[in-house]
Amino acid sequence: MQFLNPWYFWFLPILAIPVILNIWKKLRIKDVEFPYFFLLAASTSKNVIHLKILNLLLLIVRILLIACILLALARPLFTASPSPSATDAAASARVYILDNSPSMEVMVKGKTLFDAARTAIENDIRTQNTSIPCALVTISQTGMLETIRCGTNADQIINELRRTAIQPVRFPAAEALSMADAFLGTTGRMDTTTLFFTDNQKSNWQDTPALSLPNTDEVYFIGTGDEIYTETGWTGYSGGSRLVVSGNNASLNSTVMNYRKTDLDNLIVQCLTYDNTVLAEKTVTVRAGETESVQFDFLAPADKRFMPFTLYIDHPDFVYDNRLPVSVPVYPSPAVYVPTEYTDSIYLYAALTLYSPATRIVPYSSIAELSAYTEPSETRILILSTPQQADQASLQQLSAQGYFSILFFAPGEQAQPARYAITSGDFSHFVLSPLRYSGVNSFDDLFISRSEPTPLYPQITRRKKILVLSDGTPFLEELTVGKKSVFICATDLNGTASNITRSASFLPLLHRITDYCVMQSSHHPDYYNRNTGTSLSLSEDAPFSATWIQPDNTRVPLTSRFAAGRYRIETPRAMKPGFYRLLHESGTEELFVFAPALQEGNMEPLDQTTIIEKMNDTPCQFINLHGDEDESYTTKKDISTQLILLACVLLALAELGLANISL
Amino acid sequence: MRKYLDPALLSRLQGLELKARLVVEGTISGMHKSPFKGFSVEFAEHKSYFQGDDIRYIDWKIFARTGKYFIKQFEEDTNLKSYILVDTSKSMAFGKGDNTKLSYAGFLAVCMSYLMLAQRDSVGLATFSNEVGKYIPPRNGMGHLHHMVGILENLVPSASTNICLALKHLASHIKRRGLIVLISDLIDDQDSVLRHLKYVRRMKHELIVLHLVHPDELSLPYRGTTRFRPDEYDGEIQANPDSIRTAYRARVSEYLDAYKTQCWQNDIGYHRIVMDKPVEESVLHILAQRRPR
Repeated sequence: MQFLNPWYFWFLPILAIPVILNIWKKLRIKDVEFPYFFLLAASTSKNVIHLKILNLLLLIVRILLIACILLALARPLFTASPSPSATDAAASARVYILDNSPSMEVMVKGKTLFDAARTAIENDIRTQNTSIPCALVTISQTGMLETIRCGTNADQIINELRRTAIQPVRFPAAEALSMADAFLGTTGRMDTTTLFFTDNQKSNWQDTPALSLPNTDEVYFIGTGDEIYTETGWTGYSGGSRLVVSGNNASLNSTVMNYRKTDLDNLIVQCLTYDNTVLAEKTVTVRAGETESVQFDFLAPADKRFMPFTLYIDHPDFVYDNRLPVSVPVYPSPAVYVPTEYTDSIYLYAALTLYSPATRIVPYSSIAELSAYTEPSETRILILSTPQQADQASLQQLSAQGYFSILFFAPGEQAQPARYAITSGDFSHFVLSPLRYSGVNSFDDLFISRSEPTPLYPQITRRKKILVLSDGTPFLEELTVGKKSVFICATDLNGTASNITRSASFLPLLHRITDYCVMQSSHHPDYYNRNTGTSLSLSEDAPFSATWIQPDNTRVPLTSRFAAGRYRIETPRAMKPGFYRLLHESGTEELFVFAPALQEGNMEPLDQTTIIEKMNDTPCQFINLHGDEDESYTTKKDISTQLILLACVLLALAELGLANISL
Repeated sequence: MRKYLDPALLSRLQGLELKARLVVEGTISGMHKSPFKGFSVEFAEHKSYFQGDDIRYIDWKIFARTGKYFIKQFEEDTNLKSYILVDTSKSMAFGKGDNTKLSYAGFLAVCMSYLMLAQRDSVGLATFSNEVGKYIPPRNGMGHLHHMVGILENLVPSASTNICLALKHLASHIKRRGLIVLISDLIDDQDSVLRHLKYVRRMKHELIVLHLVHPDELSLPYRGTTRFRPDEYDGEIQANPDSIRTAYRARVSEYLDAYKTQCWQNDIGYHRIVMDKPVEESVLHILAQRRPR
């Protein structure tokens, strides 16, 4: 048995109070020799032995009462069945909520929590009665929560499960539970269960009021329990990094936060280039719960286009998440133009808005209107989805206007489409190289069907096959049209010819293409000083003021305040990547590039008591995913706490009764 | 000696008379009426003549009127032989400081003795617990009082109470009817005590019971859990007086009333002396109640 608030046991010495009271009461007893003793004896039915027994009972009841109150405050976790077994919940509709935020990549017992959760869900699905409706709630690549309904096909949800990937965003627990509850409400089942695979970090629950889940009978929080929190914990990043380039000298400041309860010694923090070349490396020690600044000084590459970097923390607890997504845009941030005429355009727009390194995501309905959005200094990447736009003349015209193009179209589709698989690819190509590094060596999850190969453009001098289908035709290829590149992907975006837009590799592929396009553009000469944090702190000895110019040209006047011996200005938070300018009183202007690092927020796990409170009346249990099979920890708020409180009340009544009798 | 012969107390008692309510037998003329009728100066009644009666007391005037013989009977005042029985059992030690039941009983005994000696009666003293202790035969004269006071002053409470034994002993040793004053808390077997009181009364002795009760015995004023022990035998009970006070008071009242009622019914003088009053007040109260009817 474990306790949620074990520190209440520090109050155990107050158990001595009844004993002391008892002794004191005994010492206070007066002895009187009384002549009419026989009349007294006749007036009371209690003799000394009787009273001694009563006092002893009273003492025991008082001790038990205090112990019960302490126990109730300590919130015991009673050992129960290891998991919601298939037998007892076989008839219940269930929703699997899979927390796929980066902190789920924590390694426990040689396996990431995320992988363990996926395996557990898969095993659970296989043991379920397939006629029972179930669903999976997780964050899709759009960064939004999505409910994937299973229906009666277990394989469907297992396939969806396998496609899930870690998404670098906060996982909104309350919204996920509400979505699960909404799904359970549609099933019309009497028994409904939500299995929430999560590490319950605090940021998941931030700003969450008490939940109301009328359709959910029980929620299982399956994850780390308390074990990880106390034994290993998480390491995360706090704040941003700032890169300063002066000539050939580059300096990068970053901050490492230790969310653990134990110190982290000899933590290796590396600064890597885009191709994982180590630019600099530091070994730091971060005390428990503290932050440590890390400064990297390194020689800036001669060609500063090759300066996008990532931070890497080398620690066995981390597999993938340790690669801090601090991607400092060295080049003019691109604008990506998204067509609006196809059905999934909103999805693509949202996905790019959230994750693309692009500064602007611009929806467009026809090529004719494109010039209205054109800005001379930016890299423009055009996503095309209409076969009519794919003729060579149109592509050449767009290239001449300075557009890079990504063309999605399937020339012909069959009623009974054949299935193709991607059998080979040029993984040395810039677009694919990071994918290979991150373990994507195949695109097995893609379902591709089309009847005709990609059209060949005779005037195009250079073409590179990036991905090739099993019939030898290219699926993704790079063409050079004029001075710009055109990427042609032999599928449409509507998902009829393939499921690429729903695959885990789609967005990374788009991002890499975007990066590739940007790298081929000329860069702005002033963009070397960058700040990847979210705000800028300035201080001077004398009062000063400045104007903060945001990417949309909004001007925010700033006036210094005196604090800690100096006059200081804290700029507003940069909420999205872009160019920010600081206009000084003297008229000089500084340029900053802010690329707020994607981060989950506070990765410290929220205590179970708070979660139970937020769950309001919905019974919930906590299960350690990595716990021993025979033992796990659950708490039944509605039974254990109430039983203890009932015991307290009964003991209090017994105490009153005994105290009255013993008088 | 000074302890009991407080001049102020004695002066207040001077002039008061203690008169036995019933006629007692005396050997010298005193203020008490003699039960022996016939030779004294004060006419009492007539009675029919029977053979053997002294013909000197035939009332010839009545014979002249009625033709029947009647004998004239006379009452004579005699001196009273009084016996003061003082209980010295351990229960008489109850009280605070010097104000114990035994000391109060001593005061009462001295007062009563003084009064009776002052009216030329003879007074004896007997102490008892579970057996008869000191015994002084009745004598008169104030010198005798000093002797009694000396004994009363040195009484030590001890042993249990056996009133019956004392009464029986005294009754068997008194040849003539007299006045017996029993000063005790009467903590003994109630039925047995009453039986013996009646026995003594049946032997024509005047009997005055001065039942000493300490105020604490009536009110049970203790607070908090208290361990009560009897003073004359083994045992203990632990109780909170607050919770048993009402029941106890009812039982005490019942117990005392039983004595009062039984004594009243058997023509035994009974006075409950609650020790919250000064001794002289108690004595005056006794005398007020005992004025001749």
